[in-house]
Amino acid sequence: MEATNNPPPPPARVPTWQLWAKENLFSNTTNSILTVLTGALVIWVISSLAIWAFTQARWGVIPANFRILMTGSFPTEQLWRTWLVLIIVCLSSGLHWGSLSRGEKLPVWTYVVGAIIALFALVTQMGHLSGILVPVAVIAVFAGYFIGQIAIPSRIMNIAWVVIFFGAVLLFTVDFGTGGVQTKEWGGLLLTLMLSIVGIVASFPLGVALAIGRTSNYPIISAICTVFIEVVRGTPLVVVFFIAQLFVPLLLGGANIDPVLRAMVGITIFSAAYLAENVRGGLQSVPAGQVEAARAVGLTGTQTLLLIVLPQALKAVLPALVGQFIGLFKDTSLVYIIGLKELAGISDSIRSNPDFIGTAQELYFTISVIYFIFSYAMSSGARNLEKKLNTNR
Amino acid sequence: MTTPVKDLSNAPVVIAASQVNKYYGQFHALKDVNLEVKRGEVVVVIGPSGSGKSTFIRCINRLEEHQQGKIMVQGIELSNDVRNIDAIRRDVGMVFQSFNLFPHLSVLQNITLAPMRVKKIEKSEAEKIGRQLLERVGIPEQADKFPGQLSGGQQQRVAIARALAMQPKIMLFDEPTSALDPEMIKEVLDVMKELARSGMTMMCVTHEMGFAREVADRIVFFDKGQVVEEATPDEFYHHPKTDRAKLFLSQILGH
Amino acid sequence: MSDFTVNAEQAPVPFYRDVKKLAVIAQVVFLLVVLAGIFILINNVNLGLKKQNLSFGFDFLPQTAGFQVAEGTAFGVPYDSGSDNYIKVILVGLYNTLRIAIVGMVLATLLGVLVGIARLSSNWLLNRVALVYVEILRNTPLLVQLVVWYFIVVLQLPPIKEVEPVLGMYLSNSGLAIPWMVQKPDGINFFPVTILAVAAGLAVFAFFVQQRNKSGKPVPAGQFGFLTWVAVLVLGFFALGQPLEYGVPIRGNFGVNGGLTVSPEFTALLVGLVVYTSSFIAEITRAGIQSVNKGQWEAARAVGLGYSETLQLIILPQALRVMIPPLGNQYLNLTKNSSLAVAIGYSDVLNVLNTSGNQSGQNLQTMVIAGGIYLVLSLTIATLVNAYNRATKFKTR
Ligand SMILES: Nc1ncnc2c1ncn2[C@@H]1O[C@H](COP(=O)(O)OP(=O)(O)O)[C@@H](O)[C@H]1O
Ligand SMILES: [Mg+2]
Repeated sequence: MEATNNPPPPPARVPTWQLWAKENLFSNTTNSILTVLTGALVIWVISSLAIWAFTQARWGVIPANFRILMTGSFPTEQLWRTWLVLIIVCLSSGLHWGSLSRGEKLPVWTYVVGAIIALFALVTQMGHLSGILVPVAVIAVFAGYFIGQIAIPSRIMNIAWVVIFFGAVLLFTVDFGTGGVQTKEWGGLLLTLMLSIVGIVASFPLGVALAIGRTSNYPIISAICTVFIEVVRGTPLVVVFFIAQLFVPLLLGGANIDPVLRAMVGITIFSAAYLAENVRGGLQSVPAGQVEAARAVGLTGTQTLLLIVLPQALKAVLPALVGQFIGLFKDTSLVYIIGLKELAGISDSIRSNPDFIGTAQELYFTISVIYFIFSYAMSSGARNLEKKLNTNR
Repeated sequence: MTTPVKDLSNAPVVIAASQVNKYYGQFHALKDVNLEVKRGEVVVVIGPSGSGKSTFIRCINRLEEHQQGKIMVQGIELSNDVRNIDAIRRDVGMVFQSFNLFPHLSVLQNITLAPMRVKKIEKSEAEKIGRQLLERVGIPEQADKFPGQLSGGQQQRVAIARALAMQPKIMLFDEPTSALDPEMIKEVLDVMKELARSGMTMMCVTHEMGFAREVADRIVFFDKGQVVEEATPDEFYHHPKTDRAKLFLSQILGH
Repeated sequence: MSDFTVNAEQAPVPFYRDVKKLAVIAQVVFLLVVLAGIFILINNVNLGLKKQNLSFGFDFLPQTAGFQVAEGTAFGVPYDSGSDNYIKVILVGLYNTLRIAIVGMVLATLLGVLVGIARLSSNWLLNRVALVYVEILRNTPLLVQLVVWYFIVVLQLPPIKEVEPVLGMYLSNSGLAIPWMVQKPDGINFFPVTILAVAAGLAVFAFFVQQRNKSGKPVPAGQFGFLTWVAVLVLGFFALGQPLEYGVPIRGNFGVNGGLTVSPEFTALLVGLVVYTSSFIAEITRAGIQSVNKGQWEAARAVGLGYSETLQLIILPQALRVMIPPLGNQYLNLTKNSSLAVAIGYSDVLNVLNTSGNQSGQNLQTMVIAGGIYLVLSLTIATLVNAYNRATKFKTR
């Protein structure tokens, strides 16, 4: 085994696959043994997975419960709300993406992925409408991209997202005369996403405030913020959820406060403490000279913070914040323990349905793939962002 | 070139420091500093590293707090009164050794930020002033770039424009050319000379002898937290009175 | 002409314009708001509890718990659900938490470092496999992984009747049984000795690390620490009249007897935590190794060291300094993550407290206790890591 840390500069040769294999797989005895062992392991894993997937797995459980996996017990006659939000979100993502990449061509893989998703929806027709609406959503992304490239400044999109966020929360609850939706009817991927997004949006101001408090020159304020942050960070999220479950009704004086709201309170407090630590790193990375210059031109302390220090601090920790958001997204699965039906909880319910006994593998495989796609997409996004920010300096 | 003789005898005193003492913990950074600067006067402060030059000029706009003595700027005493501090900072501009431009704002935004936020000037008006100032410091074409895209000399000129945008009565410079490559020092000094000739009251920490001889009305020599010697540039460079000043001059002149 | 220096007598500054006084006022107001918030919180909780005819007290702790715990002892003292109280059952839970956390940390570190080295291997296949391992584990929730390990892997293992022992160990759907030194029924509790041994080992290690840093002479601090640990264990063993005996698992009609047996829940939780945490430790190791200057590899090669010698003697010790703070973070996370035991029914401290709360109707108190216990655990780990960090810091002149 050789470390890539210490590569001799490769002599310029025509690379053929034999040469490549010799250099990368069989460069010496140890390496060859490693290759054979790893290869055997890979073949074993892939083949058992394939055998299971193609001969044993009862995939029928997924399409049969697809709606439930996606939206839980969201009333069927109200599903248009989720479709509407999905299509708006797709369109806005396209617009934003387009507005950020003026003059760049779309990479080919995006067309391929889009086509696969659209075709898959058309062919499988999981819900009678999804065969049409999923392709519409895909088209919305591409249409948005091309419009965004010509017409939309990316600054407007930042505002648009805030509007979309509150619009979506309203749309997922309010009664328009034909019956509303209650948060306890949210479930599946919808609940997972709403918990993570509400969690990060609500924890953002709290976390920033805590970070500012902790770094402030006022010893009492700093001490109180530090204690709060460290106590929350020293407590596991499950305990925070349990405590929120018990405390929130007592505080708000009613035992029948919706459990989803309780979970959101828990996740917000938890996430705020971690966010505060990330932001604190950013605040400390802003040189003292920036504050001095701002004070010297006459800005007040508050103006200095809001106009000079915070923008620089947040930019510096943006990749870390994305990382934290991925963690939050995965952590929402813990609400399963307090009985909510997000992706993990709903899978648990489905597999205890007598019709689908013994389908744990299929269900957990599927939701793992869903989790993976979302977090992997976000983490590679964060990596790109980091690269972009680094080259900008 | 001869310096036009300024008549400062009737000019009012705009900075008056008396018996100023400053401590960093146990360390006595400024010892009984007395200094007066008149309107329109250009004072160059020199002295060995660590002698308290930065500390002193940073006390004048309250970036540092002095513990004893009295500092009056434009007739306002520098005390714990927020109103006084704000008033003084509005009248005193400052230029730093490390520029301290705001990296997330464009050059023009750097300049217009304070006029818009502090003086509540309209954006269009502020931008007009900003562009004029960029013209004055000789880089009008850089208005929409970001500080990271400019050379050191250009950045320092933007920093001067930023300070001037608040229309200060007094400008403080803390070694404005020390972080610059030699070929960029001149472009910054030229801007400072132009400013001095326009009648601005200036207090500059700088070891640029050419600048001092050309525009300074007075040299103030600091050592170990004290004002050791005050003289005109000619007197100071040719006939220093104190041994400490002689030693210092021999060191910076390299013989 | 106006002379600004004329000293007009200054009016005293009103407090609302005085920066010093404003700073004090701001803090006092903040403090009052926080205190008021806490007061309202406590008041509301008390009112709410009164409505439900409950009170916030800890009187229930000395009462008999009366529920079974599947495994674990109160740090060596057996637990009897018929007579023992809540305090004791909480101790059993704490013991179970510490057990899984400590074993988990050791195994996750070993596995993680190996995967991290594999990530840097020039063997393309190994390198890619390690990458896929890390990405899959890091991008799916731990909870889902645990559920999979428990319901899909461990519970689907063959029953104990059908498994053949490997090296005297049985791995079946009723858990894991391994040969081990176990407490004799009538022996003195050996547990305190194990704690003492670890503490002594750490103390000796820290002492020699300090010596090494002071004198600059090479002292094998790690070996000395390890020897101390072993010595204390052996001495304790004989001093307490040999309270342990070597036990080998033997299959009976109803499972295995003898040796050390752990439940399927313990097995699944341990594997889940170790595998999940190892993916993070792998990335930390990779970053740590890459942070070591390339010149170090070249220098080591130049003096004739082989690859694994270079890695062990030159690179890893230097990488370790970079790795310690994030590694400490992972240990913290692992300990906190062990609370996911609730999801698969392992009797860790949170699970036991949760049951205690339901049993006694004092959920609020038990959860506050849980928060407190985890906080103390976190602070302890953080303090140890910081201490280690300080002790091994490079001496730079
Ligand atoms: N924030 C500070 N804390 C403690 N000591 C300081 C601080 N700032 C400056 N000093 C000390 O005060 C003395 C004067 O510093 P300074 O005014 O920066 O010197 P100069 O600008 O003349 O080189 C130096 O000895 C320096 O170490
Ligand atoms: Mg200085």
